[in-house]
Order: sequence, then structure tokens, then C-alpha cells
Amino acid sequence: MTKPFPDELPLQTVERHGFGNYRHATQALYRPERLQDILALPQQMASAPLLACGLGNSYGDAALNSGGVLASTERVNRMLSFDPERSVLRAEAGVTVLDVMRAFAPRGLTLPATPGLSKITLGGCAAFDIHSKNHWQVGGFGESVLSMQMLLADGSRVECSRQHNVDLFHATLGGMGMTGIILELEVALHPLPGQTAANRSLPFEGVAALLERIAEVQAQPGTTHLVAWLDLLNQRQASGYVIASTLEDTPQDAAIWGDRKAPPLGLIAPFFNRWSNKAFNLAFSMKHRSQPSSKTDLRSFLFPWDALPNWNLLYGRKGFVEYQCCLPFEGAQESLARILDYVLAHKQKFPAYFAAIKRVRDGAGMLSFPINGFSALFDFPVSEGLWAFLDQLDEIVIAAGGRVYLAKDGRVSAQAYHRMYPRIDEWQRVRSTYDPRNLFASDMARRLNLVNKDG
Amino acid sequence: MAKRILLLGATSTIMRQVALNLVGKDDLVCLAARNTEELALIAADLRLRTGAALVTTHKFDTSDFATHQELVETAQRELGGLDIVVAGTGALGDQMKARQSLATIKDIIDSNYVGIATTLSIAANIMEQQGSGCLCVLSSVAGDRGRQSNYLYGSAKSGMNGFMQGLRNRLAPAGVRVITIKLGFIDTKMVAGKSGTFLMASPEAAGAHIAKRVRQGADVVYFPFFWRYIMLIIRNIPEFIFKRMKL
Repeated sequence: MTKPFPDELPLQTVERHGFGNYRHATQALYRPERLQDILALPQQMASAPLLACGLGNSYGDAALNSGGVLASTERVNRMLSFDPERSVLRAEAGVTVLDVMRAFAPRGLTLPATPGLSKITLGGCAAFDIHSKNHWQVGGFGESVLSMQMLLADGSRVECSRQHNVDLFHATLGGMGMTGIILELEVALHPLPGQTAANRSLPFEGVAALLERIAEVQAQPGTTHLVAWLDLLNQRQASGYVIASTLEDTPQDAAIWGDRKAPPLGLIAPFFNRWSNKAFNLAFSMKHRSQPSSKTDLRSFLFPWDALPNWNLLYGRKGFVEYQCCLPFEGAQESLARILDYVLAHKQKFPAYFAAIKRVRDGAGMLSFPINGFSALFDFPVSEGLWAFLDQLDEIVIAAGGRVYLAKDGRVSAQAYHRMYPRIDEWQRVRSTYDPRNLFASDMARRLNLVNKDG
Repeated sequence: MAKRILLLGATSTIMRQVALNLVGKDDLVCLAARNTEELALIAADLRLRTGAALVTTHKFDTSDFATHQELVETAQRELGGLDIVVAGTGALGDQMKARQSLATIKDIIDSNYVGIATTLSIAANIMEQQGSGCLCVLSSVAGDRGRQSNYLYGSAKSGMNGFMQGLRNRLAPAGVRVITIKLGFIDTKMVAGKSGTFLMASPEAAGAHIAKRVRQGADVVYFPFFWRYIMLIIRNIPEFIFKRMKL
């Protein structure tokens, strides 16, 4: 029998969990410190499944590889070149969003799509085609990617873009790392209209009013980011605030991009429960009612979680599920109402501590999460019976023509997943041409049956 | 004021973090290392991240002594002077292999001591003459006492530490700062996954601390700080006991 992985690699056995802390895995970690040290990996790997990962911040099991090898690209993080004429940055996959913002925000440039936490690698952003609150205007991360250099299962290095190896390009955006290892990316930066966000809060009660508010703020010139915050703990019907933001040209000190220490949130976890969250929601509502406009610096605005990067600790040992789904624009009023009614009807047993709705458009990759419509997310602490409750929620989402977001997921069934993503067959065909021996896999891929075993 | 900085062994994981934390906009930097391909990537990255006014690169091989004078003089010329030199070359090497191989012994001693001593001697003369500057070496707590598991590496670091002590003594009147950084376990490929390691610090934290110490005075720095106390104990174990220990 051949050894699953080679002796010469400096591997460490590590136990890791997803950000939601409810999926765990033990695997061998390989963390090369330069790009050269990753190139031979596909040939060196005989049989064990291989998975490239960034900083491991996906919520479920996307960055876990039980019994296999996890190749972390977190130190393969050199910025390679910048073309000031086209504002195009070429960088290795481990460069983080924070790195890019730190270097380019002071020069008036930004990544158009940004995750809520800034310490996320560009490779990870591409692998999930991440989106932000301005998706309805600028699209997701994939739209700003001009090309990617991939390390394929046969050990070859291939450039893919909208002109070359087009199928590989579209299969890799949102492809959860299953097509190969992203080595380098070329991303187009956008001009930054300003360094300060001016926010307006508009109250709503009920889904019809929510959609009206969203349409209103979309029509207002200057609005770039919008999100609806919902209180699903204190009210009988879905109500909250639509927060619309504009970037203003008030300069900020470059020091806002400095390193921050995470507060010891684990200490207050015992006090984080239904009652404290109810109180928090009331206070949050009151603040937005009494103060409908506010200003925030760019970092706090784009990366609200940077102040609390370890907020997952609040949910304690059992963890939490951030259930995020996307619903088509047609019939959204009905489908959103059905989902919110379902969540509200079970709020005694499965309270959603946090809930938000965003407007999104179609994503760039074959398996990109966003479709033209609305994305809704709910944070549920893990408790007895939650899995069955969420399986029911999946059915409502599927019936409405929607899907769940894999970056946040560690629990959807393979059967449900394949009904959510109609392009999965096409993606699997492309994937198997680039990885015929099924080298790349993850706990998520095995759970969702992403990798065709007979391929 | 723009600083003129020479970094030796600039491609190492820790040195890269030192550079990112030390170099500011408008600074002039010369990066030197053996792997010129990797050096070009590190230089491009440093330019983009820091906006440094000038970043040049040169090949630096610790065992190629004949080139050291030229390297330092070239850096001085290109940068228009020399304010800071940080040396971070060196490798743990293979202690077991060194028992049989003279070439391995020479490699370990050259990269951790001799090649740095030659280069810094040249830089020291320049700084003594200009009456200012800062010389800094990334050494190791392994230099505080020889142990069977890595005494070649440790003895080279010991030599380095002694060299720096003397240099500090010589250059103090000239106003030149000489800093010895004694590193404990840092989470890089030198130690990652090896048995017997504990309380590892990240290279990011190490880089930030070293840059801070280079900016404002210190003679001998232990990082992480508690290694000062660990080594205080280890240095004071009587030899007749120490020689029987498995360390």
C-alpha cells in the first residue's frame, strides 16, 4: 500500500473547527512559507484527500478535511504587482482583505466586495465568491477577479480567466477549492468614494414595508450599501430598520487599519442568551429610532466584525449556525414572509439572535451563492432539535427556488443541496476534467457529494 | 525622517515581518538574501505594502566572504547612507548530520555567525565614522547554553552574542546602538511541528516587537519576554547536573 502522504512534508496533526464551532475535524496541516514550497504538493500526494485553505474562517466544514491534508496558504501572501493605470493588483492567494485595504485604502482604492471580517484571504474570497452589502450595485468578489493562477491535480500551473480556461475560471469562483489550489489572483480595485460612511436608518414593519424601503433606498442616488436588520425576538411580525449608507469624502487616519486585540468574549458567553439578546435588540432599535443618521469610519463600516473577530465564542461550546439563504426576486415578498413566519413561529425553541436581509444580484461563478433577489441570514444557537428545524427551513427555501450559502454551512443534506444549485451537474463535469483522480476534497465535499466518486 | 535600512537574510519569514513593521513610506531599503528569486517577490511585496521610496535587492551568501564588503558599500551608496542594519540569516541545520559532515558544520557556523560578523564589521566601521546608526542581529536563546540537541547552532549563536557584546562596548561612545535579539520558539518552519516546542509566538508578533526595539533603544532583548527567565534558570544549572540532562 502506498502511504497516504509523503514523509518529507513537515506536517502537523491539528484539530480544527469551523467558525460556528459545531463541526470539528482532525487532519494533517501543511503550511508552506513560500509559493515554491506548494508546487510539488499534488504530485507528492498519493491518495489522501487534499484541501487548500486560507485562515479557516468558514463557518461549517468547508475548511475541514478529516484524515486528509490541509494546505494552508496563509503565508503564501506576497503582493506581486500593481498596475496603477487599470488599478489591477496581482497577489498570492494568502494575501488578506485587510492587507489590501491597509495598502490601498489610503491611496483611494478598495476591493469592491468585502467580507464582514477583514482577515480573510483573497483565495478564500474567490473560493466562495463572497458578497457584501453593495452586491446589488457592484456584484460579488468574483466580478472583480480578472484571472487566477491555479495549481491543478496533475501538478500543472494554469492561468484561467474570462478568456482562457473559461470553464475552470467559472468553476473555481464559488467552487469551494475543489478545482485546484488558487496560487495567485488578479483583482480590479475600485475607486473609493470616501473614507467615512454616512448611514440612515429607516424603520419598517412587515415584509411588504421592508421591500418597499429597500426599493426606495436603492433608487436614491449615492446609496452604495444597504442592509435590513430585523428583530425576531421581541416582535410578533418581522420588523426592524433598513440601513442605507453612502461613502463620504471625509478622510480617516490610516491608523484605523492597524492590528487590533480581540476582547475576551469567552468570559461573557455565560450571559449571552435569549434575554440578553432581547435586551440588546431593544436597545439597538431604540438607538436607531432616536438617532436615524450616523457616521462610521470605513473600517468599522466595511468590517463590523473586526472589533469582535472572535464573536463566535459568545455562543459557547455548542456553537451556532448562521443560516443564510438566497431567494429569487420574483415572489420574494411571499417567500420571505413564509420564511420569517416559520422562524418567528419557532422563536421560543429556536430563537434567531441576529437576523439581516440584503439585496443581491446574480453571482459570477457556476456555484456562486447569490441570485437576483434577497439574501436572508439568521443566527441560531445550537440546541436540541435544531437540525430538524433547519431541514424544514431548507424545504421552504427550495420550494421558493432559493439556496443556502456554503461559506456558512456545515449541515445541509446532499439531497437538498443538489436541488438548490441547478448548475451542480455542469460544475461536476468541469471539475472532473481538471481533477480526474479526485485529489481535492473536504468534509463539506464528502457531505454534499460534490466530488463524483465514479468520475 | 526617511530611514536607510539594510536587511540581511530578508527572505526569512521573521525578517519579512521585521521589514513590514519597520519600513515606512519614504524609507530607503536594501534587501539581501541568498534566494534571489524569492527576494524579488519579497521586494515587490514590500514596495506595494509600505510605499517605500526605494527598495533594492542584492544576493547575499553568508559563506561567500569576498562579496560582503562590496555588498555593504553598494547598499550605503544606493541608499545614500546607512541608519539601520538588521541581520536575520541563519538556519538550525541538521545536528545529527553535522556529526559526520564537516561541510554541514561550516554551513551552520557561517550562516549563523561568521558571515554576519564579517558583514556587520564593515557596517560598524561606517556607522562609527558617521557617529550614528543601529545594528541588530536576530540571535537565539540557544546561544545561552550549549545543549546536545543543537550545540552547533547554539555555539554559533553564542559566538554571535559575544561579538555583539564587544561591538556594543566599542560603539557605545560613538552613539551607535547594537541590539541582540534572543528569540525563543517562533512559529515558523524551523520549529513548527517539532516535538518539545511550547508557547510559540507568531512571526508577526516577533516582527512587530523587533521593529519596536530597533526604533527605540535596547541592548539585549528576549522575545517572547519570559525566555529571559527560562534561560536564567537554564544558565544556572550546575554543569555536573546539566551534562546528564537530555535537552
